[in-house]
Amino acid sequence: MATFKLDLFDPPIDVRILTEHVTEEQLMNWNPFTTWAKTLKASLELQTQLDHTGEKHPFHEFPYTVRSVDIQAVDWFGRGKLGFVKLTAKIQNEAPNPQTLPGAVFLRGGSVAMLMILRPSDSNSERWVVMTDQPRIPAGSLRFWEIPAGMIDDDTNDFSGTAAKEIKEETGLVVPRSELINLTELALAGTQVDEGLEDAMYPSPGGCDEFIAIFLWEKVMDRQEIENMKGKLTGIRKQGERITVRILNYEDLWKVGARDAKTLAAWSLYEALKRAKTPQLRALSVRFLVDVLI
Amino acid sequence: MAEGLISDTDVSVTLIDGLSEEELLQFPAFKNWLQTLKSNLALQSNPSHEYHKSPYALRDIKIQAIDRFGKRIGFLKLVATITNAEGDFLPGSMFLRGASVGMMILLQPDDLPADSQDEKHVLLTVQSRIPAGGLKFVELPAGMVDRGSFAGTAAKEIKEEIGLEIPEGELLNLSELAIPEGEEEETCPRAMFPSAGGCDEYIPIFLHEKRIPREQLGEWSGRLTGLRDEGEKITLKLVKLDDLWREGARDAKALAAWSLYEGLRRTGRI
Repeated sequence: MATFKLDLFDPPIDVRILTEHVTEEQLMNWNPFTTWAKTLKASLELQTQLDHTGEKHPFHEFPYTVRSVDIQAVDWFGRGKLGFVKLTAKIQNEAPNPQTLPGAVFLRGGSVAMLMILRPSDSNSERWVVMTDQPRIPAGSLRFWEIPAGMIDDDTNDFSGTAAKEIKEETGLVVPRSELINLTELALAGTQVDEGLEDAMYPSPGGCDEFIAIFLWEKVMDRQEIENMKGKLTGIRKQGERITVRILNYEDLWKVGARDAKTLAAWSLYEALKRAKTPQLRALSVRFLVDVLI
Repeated sequence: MAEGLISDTDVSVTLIDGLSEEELLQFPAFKNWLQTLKSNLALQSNPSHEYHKSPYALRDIKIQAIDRFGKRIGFLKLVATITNAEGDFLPGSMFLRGASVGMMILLQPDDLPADSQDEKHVLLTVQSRIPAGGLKFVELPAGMVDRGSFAGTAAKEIKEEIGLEIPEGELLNLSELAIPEGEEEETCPRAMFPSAGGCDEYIPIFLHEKRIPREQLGEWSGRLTGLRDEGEKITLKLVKLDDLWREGARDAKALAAWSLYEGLRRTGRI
């Protein structure tokens, strides 16, 4: 069991590595771990400050501090990338009867999800959505429908990952960063929060660090192009296919996607931002010469 | 570290210290997940199934870590090996924690017409969420349905602060309304999965609507705004339903509730 001092916290704390599958160096080079520690540290520092409304922090009398962290298990993905880390943090205050905060953390870092909307050029209101259909073993399912998830590539800045790759192969569609609208960022604009949380949706903040930025990508196309795509992608999945691309009528999105947090999040943000006549969505209208706000 | 086969299967399991196979098999989250997975893997024997030619099978399960709440199992971290004859595998690393519920509690002044959508307010929680790195994370109340009513830390706080208790009979399961039963081949809980690629967690979203005297709504609202009890680990917040998507934009449960409520209302289901 290796132990090292983590000075991302003040005072520095002991990190015990209880698994032989990761080293201090690998952990410290892994963005999700250092981001989590820095975000938490900044939030803990606010305990002794007044918030933006001039109010004392709920914990100002007996602030919590991180005492130690245990790294219990890690999973490595292909190409030497650290994938998941399971840790527990001991977080306690100095109250006469010391209180702790739940410190079990499944660390995996952030990702992005795409609400990819295709609009036939001959219709003002019709929309189709690109979905993925794939096994999701934690859900016990071999056919789990979601809006496409992935990453923003560090170099190209485009939407990338398994889903992006499959979508490009099956439909030819490529999603460049310049054509993306960050829905979560828009939704949170103008709200003031003192904690340094991401402008993203957190699927399960009580157990996992994961945050997912929800992007909108709308494209006007010839109806025939969309029909061709639909024709190619309906019906049963090809034998052995690991991830299948689907084209779904937008009207059905919230129902068909009702099991997927990303899908419901994207639908709610898109619908609400439209209803609020958000300027950035209005800009899409001008580009498309259709009324996106219907 | 014990190894063995799960009885009546040829799935080998590697346990960790302090966890027996019996305890593992009785852990509801594990039991339910395993059952769901097995029944959906079994569908591969159908000639029309996409994996029929080379079906996947669960080979082994390795428990990597356990978190206990007192004596009972809270969370497990495990890796499942699921491969076909070609050596293709399905990602089987997961965080296992079981199901909980999300509670959309809507309060409206009772002096408005019964079919009015105006002035609906939704109750939110504010608490520390160490995994997210925040101490004031805003969410839709979460918990369990235990012994006939909404239970857990949020439920307790709601009862303490505004005296509101939520019996099971006054809950409407929005997830089950949105996801019809019996239309799919697969068996899968009719609920919202926050992160199906890495975690078994599923959360049905429930609705509890209550019309209360206007003064009471004002009183509750005032009390919660003024409330900053020293050291309270969880506090409540009342926001307009119209603002739920902004106030809860970081919370999967809040956005899911907004979506299901909006979708079901538009289609006349509620």
